[in-house]
Amino acid sequence: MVYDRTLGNRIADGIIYTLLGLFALSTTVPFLYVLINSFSGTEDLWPKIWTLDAYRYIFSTDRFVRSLGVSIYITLLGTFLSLLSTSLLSYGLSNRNVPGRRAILLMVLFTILFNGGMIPTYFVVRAVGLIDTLWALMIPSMMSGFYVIVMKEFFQNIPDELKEAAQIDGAHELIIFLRIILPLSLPALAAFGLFYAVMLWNQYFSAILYIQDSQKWPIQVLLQQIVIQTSGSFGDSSAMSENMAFYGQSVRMAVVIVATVPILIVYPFLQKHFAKGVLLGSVKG
Amino acid sequence: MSVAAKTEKVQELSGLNRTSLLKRMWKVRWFYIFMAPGILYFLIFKIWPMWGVLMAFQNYQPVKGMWGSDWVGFRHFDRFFSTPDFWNLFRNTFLIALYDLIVFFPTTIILALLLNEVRHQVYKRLVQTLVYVPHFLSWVVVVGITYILLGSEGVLNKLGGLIGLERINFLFNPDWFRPLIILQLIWKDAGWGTIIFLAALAGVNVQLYEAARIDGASRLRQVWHITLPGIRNVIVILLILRLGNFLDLGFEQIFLMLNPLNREVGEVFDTYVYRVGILEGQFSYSAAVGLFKSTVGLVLVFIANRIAKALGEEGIY
Amino acid sequence: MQKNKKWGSKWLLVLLALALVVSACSSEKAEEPSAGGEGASKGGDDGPFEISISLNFDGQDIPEPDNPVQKAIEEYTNTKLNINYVPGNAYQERLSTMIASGDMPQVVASYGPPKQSFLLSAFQNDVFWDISPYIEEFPNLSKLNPIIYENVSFQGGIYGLPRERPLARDAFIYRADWLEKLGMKEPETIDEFYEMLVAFRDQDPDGNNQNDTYGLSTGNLGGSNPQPNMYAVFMGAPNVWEVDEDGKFTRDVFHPAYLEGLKFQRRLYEEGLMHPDFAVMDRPKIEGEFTTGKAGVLLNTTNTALTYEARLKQTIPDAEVSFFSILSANGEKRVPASLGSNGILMFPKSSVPTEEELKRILTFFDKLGDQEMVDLLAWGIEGVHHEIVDGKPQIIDHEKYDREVTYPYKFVLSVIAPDNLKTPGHEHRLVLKEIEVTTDNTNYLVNNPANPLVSQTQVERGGELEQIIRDANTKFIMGVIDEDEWKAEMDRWWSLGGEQIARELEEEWKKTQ
Repeated sequence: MVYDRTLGNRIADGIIYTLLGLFALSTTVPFLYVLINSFSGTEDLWPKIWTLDAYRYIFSTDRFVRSLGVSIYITLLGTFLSLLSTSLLSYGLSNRNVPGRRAILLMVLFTILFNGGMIPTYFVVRAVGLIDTLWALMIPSMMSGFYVIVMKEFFQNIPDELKEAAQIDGAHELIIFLRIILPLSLPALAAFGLFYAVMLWNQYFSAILYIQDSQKWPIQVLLQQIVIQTSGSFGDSSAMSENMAFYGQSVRMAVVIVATVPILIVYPFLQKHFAKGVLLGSVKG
Repeated sequence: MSVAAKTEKVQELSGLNRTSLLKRMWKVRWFYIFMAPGILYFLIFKIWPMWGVLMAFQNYQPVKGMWGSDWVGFRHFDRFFSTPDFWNLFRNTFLIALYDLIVFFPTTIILALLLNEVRHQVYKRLVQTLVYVPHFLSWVVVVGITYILLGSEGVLNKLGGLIGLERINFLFNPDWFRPLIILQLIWKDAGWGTIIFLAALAGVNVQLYEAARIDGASRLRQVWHITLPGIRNVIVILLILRLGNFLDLGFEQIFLMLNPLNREVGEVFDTYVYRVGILEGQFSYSAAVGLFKSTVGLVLVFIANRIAKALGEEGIY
Repeated sequence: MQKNKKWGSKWLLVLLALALVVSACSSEKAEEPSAGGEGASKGGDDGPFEISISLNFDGQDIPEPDNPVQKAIEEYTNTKLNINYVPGNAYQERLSTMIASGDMPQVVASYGPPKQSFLLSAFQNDVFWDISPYIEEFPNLSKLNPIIYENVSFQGGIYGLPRERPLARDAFIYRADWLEKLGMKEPETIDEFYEMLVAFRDQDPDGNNQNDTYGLSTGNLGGSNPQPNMYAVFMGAPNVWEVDEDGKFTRDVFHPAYLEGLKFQRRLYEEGLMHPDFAVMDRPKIEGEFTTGKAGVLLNTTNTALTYEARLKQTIPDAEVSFFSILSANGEKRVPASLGSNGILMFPKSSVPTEEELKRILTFFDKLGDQEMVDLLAWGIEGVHHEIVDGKPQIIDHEKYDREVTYPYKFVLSVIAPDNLKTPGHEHRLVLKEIEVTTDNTNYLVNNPANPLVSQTQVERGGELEQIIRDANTKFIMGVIDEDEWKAEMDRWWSLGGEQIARELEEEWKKTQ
């Protein structure tokens, strides 16, 4: 898109760039603080001693490397499954000519508003035989009703003429979906893929609930144990206090870094799909 | 009424008898096949466990199971509504949810629009990535950072002290609680929230901008007449869905920010039920509070959907 | 449109009805006790007896099942252990799904004191073995202090083996090097403690010529269980509850000494002897204040001092810590007693169907109290965790020992605490002090008479009610409310449910008399 390079536009640019820059700065500094802390033993803003001990400690354990592998595996495979099933359902729901569409939409909406809770869900996961398998981390949370409904909205934004043109050519529905709809929906696929990936990457509770074998636990279990637990109850000698392992501040921070950076760096690679209007423009033009 | 809705209506009116229904279904059979895995998923993993909702009406004990536990009717709801703090909890939850809706939600849209206006691609991607980073810090870390900045001996108070300002009690003063919650929320999740809008913005037809430019439309006018209408349906849907979970607030965040001095404004349904129900393993009570929140959400979604339709939007269903 | 709408909602109704029927059937099925999978274990007489165990775990590394420590345990006890470690922060949820689904191994740890309603209901419904008739058959298990068993009992039954801990082990951990530098000695009275805190604030104990130190690092945390106020107990208040000979229960907050304790804390706050933001500090922050050399005193349990010293030494090599448990007031020494255990190990009847199997499992835990096992848990393996110096064992690397022995085995599996029974060796002075202090504490214990009793109101609404007391205390310490307002809050607690708890405790108490 091109704007005239008028003075007004330049001032507007200046304001926009500065505002965004300031906000970006405010979000970066604390992360840097976490990063710096992971290299030092103290809570100082600028440490006197720099050390790699925390990272050395983390990577020295088999458990860490293994659970990182588990996380990557379930995130990749799970995102694929989630994205496939969600886009298929959303695409179906985006077609206003499908009888029963409203009922399905209501059902999906209903699951956003109400949920059965932990114990009933556990029974279902057990009944389908997923307990103690990595599938338990991918299938029970495979689809989000929220994303289904929003994604449906994206499909509805695709001009009908495109589909109709293909239908007149006699193309199979599957071909239309794969060749026309999906390529046009890359921004949505990128966005929802990212949402699912982050959700899969961040889950830890279902791992503890559904999987006994600690060898199959993802990295977040470790993170939760180290970062969250240590902030739990304190000085409560009748409860569990003495059982808590002590971690230095640096280990806590290093774990935060190691457990977030892999998923964090996914985003920049997806960003090219958000480039404004490129896709529709090219198809239409 | 939009063109799409009109065609829908026409089609529906035309298919009144059963044979034509079957015919219509046969015509879109592939769509049923597309949807089958998804529908199956929702039936198995979301609808099947739905019996858990009934726990709210009994004294559920895991050991006795669903059919063995005693049915107590509305006892848990009675207890919940007669909690001395109920109205206080309701007010606190409502206000924070409202601020979330009228401050946080628009902020994400504005941030997305601002990002959309940046033409320097490297700068845009850099900012986009950096503002998205805090989403990945857990609330424990974010609240920790807040304390370092705003504590009695925090960075801000130290700086203020240098220029002779009086110490501000950000963490204990109830007046600061809601602003802090919303600020944290914006800081942590606004960048994350832009993603969906940026994806929607990618679908806006560029030719419209070119036409507008030739017409001499100003930048603001282009945003108002092209960009926003282009993502309007996504905004509406997100808004309605947000209302469905209106009373669900970021539990962890509020729980970590609570202290005895701000509890009167800070305690919300989620933190209350965590302390009273979940920590103590009282499943039925937690389920009752959850059911109450969901019902409120249901009503709000219903109303919002009606309003959206009245305004010519398609709504959710 | 109208027709379509109707059709849609009908469809939805049918779906929902179907789902409810299906799910009802499934939940019914789930109630069947299933010992299956790892729960099933028939050892036979010849081979090692298989035991499956679920434990809460708060250590760093979950050990591989074939590690030498576990092998040594298995060999001595002639068992094969199948341990499932569950991170502590999700243990409660895991436990409740285990009970709901019946998928339980043969040994299940409770989450903290077994007082949650879903556990009590499981006890009432005979899900777990009542082990009280069997304890005396086992030489080691029967040696455990009866108070510890009593504290975890429920309506006369004991539904699991307690994991023994010292009865009183809260400690004021302080900077011994600071104290020495200032020429002071370890405080024995409340007043001396106050003087120490003042000196830590004013006399530049770290010698950097800056006014950057203070006295006590403390916080406002804790679960929903009522906690005694240490200072109040020192000054003569009861340990949470007090009972007279008629069975009338009185809460500590109504004892005059309780307010004295709060006033002492208020004074510390007002005079800057503790952190102005103490009420919002979380565990890492509280610890950080101490381990980075800002605060001179920290409150935690006796066995944590060693770790704090190690962490302090990373940044301040000369730092030394020490600790004490009791501050006397009015010439009297008192210390609040806790339960004396950290959770119990329970045995589900579904996976341990016969008495014979139960006894076999109890034998395993009994054997862990034999000298050989006590030494294994206390010293680890020779050449790996300890070495023999002058004929006595000495830990080589405390961190390694903690990671490989303490967290995965000693803390979670041993019923008899090994520390007091182990073969004497070369000990760190802080470990020696720990034994000395916790042993000495037993002479001055103030018991909480409500420990073995269960009040239904406490179970259901304790968390809610306790918050009233906690909040009022913090507000009083911070000077937000005055004495009268504080007392009004205590009256509110009493009328909202405190009175009922007292009455229920009284009823329960009378049953046991």
